[in-house]
Amino acid sequence: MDIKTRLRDNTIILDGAMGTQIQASGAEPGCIPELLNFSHSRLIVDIHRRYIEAGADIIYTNTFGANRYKMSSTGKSVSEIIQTAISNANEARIGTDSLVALDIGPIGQMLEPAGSLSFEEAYDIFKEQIIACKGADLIVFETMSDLYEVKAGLLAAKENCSLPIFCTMTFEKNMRTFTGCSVASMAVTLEALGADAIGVNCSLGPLELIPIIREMRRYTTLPIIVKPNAGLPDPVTGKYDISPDDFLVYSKMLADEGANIFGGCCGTTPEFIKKIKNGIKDVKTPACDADKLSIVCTPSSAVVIDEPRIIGERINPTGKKLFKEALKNNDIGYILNQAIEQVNAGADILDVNVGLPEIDEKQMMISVVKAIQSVVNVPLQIDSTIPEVIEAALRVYNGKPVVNSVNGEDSSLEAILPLVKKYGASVVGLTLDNNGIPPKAEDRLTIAEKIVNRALSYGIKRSDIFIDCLTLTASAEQAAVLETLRAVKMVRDKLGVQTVLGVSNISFGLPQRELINNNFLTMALTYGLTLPIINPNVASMTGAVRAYKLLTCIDTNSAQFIKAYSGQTETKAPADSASNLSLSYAIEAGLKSECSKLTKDLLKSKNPMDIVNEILIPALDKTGRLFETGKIFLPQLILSAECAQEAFGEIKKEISAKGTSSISKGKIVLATVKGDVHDIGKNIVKVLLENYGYTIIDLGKDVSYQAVVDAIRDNDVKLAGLSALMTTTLISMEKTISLIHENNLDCKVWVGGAVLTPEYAEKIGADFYAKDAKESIDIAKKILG
Amino acid sequence: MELSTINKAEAVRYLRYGDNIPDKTISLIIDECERRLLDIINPMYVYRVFDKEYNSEGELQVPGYNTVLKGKSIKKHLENSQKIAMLCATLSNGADTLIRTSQVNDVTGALITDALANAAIEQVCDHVCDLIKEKLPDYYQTSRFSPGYGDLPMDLQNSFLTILDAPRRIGVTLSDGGLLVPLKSVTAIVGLTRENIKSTQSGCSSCALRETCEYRKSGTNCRK
Repeated sequence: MDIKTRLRDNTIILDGAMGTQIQASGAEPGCIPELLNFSHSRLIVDIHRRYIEAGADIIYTNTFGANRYKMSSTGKSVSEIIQTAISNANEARIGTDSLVALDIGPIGQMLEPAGSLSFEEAYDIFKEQIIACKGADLIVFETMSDLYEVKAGLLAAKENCSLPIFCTMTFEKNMRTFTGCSVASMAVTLEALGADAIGVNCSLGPLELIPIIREMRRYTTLPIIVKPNAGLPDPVTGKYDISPDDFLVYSKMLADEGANIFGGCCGTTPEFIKKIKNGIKDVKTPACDADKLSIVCTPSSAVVIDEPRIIGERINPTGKKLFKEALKNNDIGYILNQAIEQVNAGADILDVNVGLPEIDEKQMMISVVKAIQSVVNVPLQIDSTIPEVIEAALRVYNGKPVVNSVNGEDSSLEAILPLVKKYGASVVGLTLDNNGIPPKAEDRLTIAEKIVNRALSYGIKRSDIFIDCLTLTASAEQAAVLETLRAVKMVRDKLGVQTVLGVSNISFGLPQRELINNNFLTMALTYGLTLPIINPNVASMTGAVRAYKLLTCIDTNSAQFIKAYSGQTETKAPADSASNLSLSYAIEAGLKSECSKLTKDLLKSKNPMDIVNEILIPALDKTGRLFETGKIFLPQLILSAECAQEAFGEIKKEISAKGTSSISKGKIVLATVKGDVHDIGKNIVKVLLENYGYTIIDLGKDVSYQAVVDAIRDNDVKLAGLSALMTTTLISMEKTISLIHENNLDCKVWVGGAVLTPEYAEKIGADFYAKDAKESIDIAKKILG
Repeated sequence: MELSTINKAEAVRYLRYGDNIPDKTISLIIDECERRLLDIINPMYVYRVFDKEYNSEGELQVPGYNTVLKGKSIKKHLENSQKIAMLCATLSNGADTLIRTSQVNDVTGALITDALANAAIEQVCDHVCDLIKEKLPDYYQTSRFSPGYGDLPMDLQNSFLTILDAPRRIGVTLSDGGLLVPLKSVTAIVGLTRENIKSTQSGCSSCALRETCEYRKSGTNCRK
């Protein structure tokens, strides 16, 4: 019988532990189990056979670690190992109707950002295993702890074979995997990506897995697999503690919670499988309405849209000079700051738009999505007009994102919806088409209906469709405001989908924009808006959403509201005492929050460059001296530097607002060299140089030699600055300089960093040595003018 | 296991304060970083105890495995031991994430959190050693000795993780560059001796960092 039919109609029984049986046969503990497929094929066939005789409908091949990374020392190729293992399994099942699953375990190396293995490399490693699957009936990923790794595997499987796919992950008692993945995020992401069954294996016994299966059933309509250990191991003897009879009792309890596919992991034997085969009958899967839930997620955080959720709008270059500059200069740090700031302010989801004609939007989108996901855990909304950019982002996104957007035009629907389906996303549909935005709410509803029906026809769930009825500017089309709100209500009531609105547009061209935005937001929420796109950094906007939830009984007992605001007093005028502080004192004392305020005040009466030269640089010099003489310590030194960065930030805004920075004095590449992650010095130099009018291409920290060379060549740069803080990384500095010279680039190099000396700088081939940020400026002036 | 507090005095030492005490501003940041770190970490560990055995070449070999503990320094470290305990402990990747995130807009916090995490992982190791003491009360313990100390090779890490089944049991893996991931993880060997022998404390002489160590330059050492 074919597996998909079995999945629909029956309880399926899997095999038990392979490793436990191999050990029981007396194999050496340190041996590589996959090699036994060759050296002890009889043993492996026998183990499979015993599980089939015990009642296993599906047996897993002995290929748990058969990937190129783990098998590198064996002298065997991945396909050779997998093919041999599959043929052993096939030999065992002759004359039965048991099926063979190609078993794939974790790669054994952590993926980015925790580890160094890239998503793309992980995909390739899995692909090599998948294409060797001939003779197997399905693919199984098991014992996974990293959702990103499972996604790489699942995509590799979907794109390189047509077999059904099972995915099981390993959860701890805290209901999370080692990497922090939650049960909800796992279930939501893997179902959306098209797994045929999902579940849990290993790590815990069946009793401990009960709450995990209960939780999983809340979030998936798929068949649930449970392959527990035979209890928990004794720390000294390593023996597992439950009997086959107990295993059956607990497995039945797991069936009641919603599991439909049963097997065993570490410590289980054919006897365990026989018990469950004979004991688990007529499983009635509990009712589940997981498909009604609208959820987007990252591995550690699932956002259920069962109440208004804030989408932060700030990661978008439209109308933002500094943001555009950041994109052009590949300044990911600037964007990360925007992400963290919005999350701290209360954003539930972040919209990410990096569209700018001058840059490679696809590459930038990939970098930004990965970088944001490495520092915040809220889900992202991928915002682009270009299908290739959207697809690239969907591929590398970890979790379940939102796509922004499709509209009612057939070409848009046909280009985007298949991507939304394939990569398991939610999607925003704009109620406009080639005739523009219909003035009447009824006509917008018609477009919304078309989008919803088309999405449903692609297999996208209704709960994953979010309709944007489009905010028009009140100053231009005053009467349209209520039409938009009526459309929101109609879409919500008639189509039963989530609703999105970009709120800030409403007030364009009017004074007191915040006042208008705020009132429109509250009105829209009352009309049924569930996903307001706002600037969460404006306290009154986030506050309006929180207040709405309190007033409509969503925020039970006002708990969220009190949590957000307790300890805060009503906004007061800034205290007088601050004005008595001098900026230099604030920098030396590490009063970060005072620095931008003090700088703003100073900018009213003082020239920006005078502030830099007369206050900031002397203050930094002074803390530098205090540090050198042991009067202050490293955290204080860095805190002062961060305070100065705050002040520089204000100065930068001022210069940018006056438009004086539009004329660049030249481009400079900055990098903290390979192996070194200490980049505060480089960042100080960067900010200073920017304020002198240079365009900085900041490559960040731990930068490869080649990346420096590429950046110099691609941007035709005449001056590059390298920093290193540790003696151990000076060698990287030397190698970077050599590579620049080898490539005959017409580019001067200056170096700086705590452990450098002028003599050493000369020895490694640098053109200049800068003892401090000030000297860096002098060097830049000399070379670039 | 759960840590309820972090040894802040130790963390302050890692920040090179010597005998000095952080000022109020930094102390407040340290308290805040401690709170955030304790919130996010999920300390885990595995350990196994083996009899100390030599192979035919007279090298230390882990019983049942072909893993050899190479070098003179580990041999010396374990010379009076009858058993060895191998352990691996981790704060889990929450600590790494917190430090990475702090680096974006709070470098001071990142630096301090890093020092606190280093202190915390030592506390987890202390806890494991206490557990071993409970299981084997008749044995005294040497100090902890890790791959990379003295002439004990770094490339032992891989076998170490395999023997302890650390990837599966506590999620600790090795990167291509030979770093333990999560970064805030430790592997170590502890000698178990029948008699209390003072000289089993490993000192600077067996340390790989003895030439460049900042503590040593300033006339102290990392154990004070």
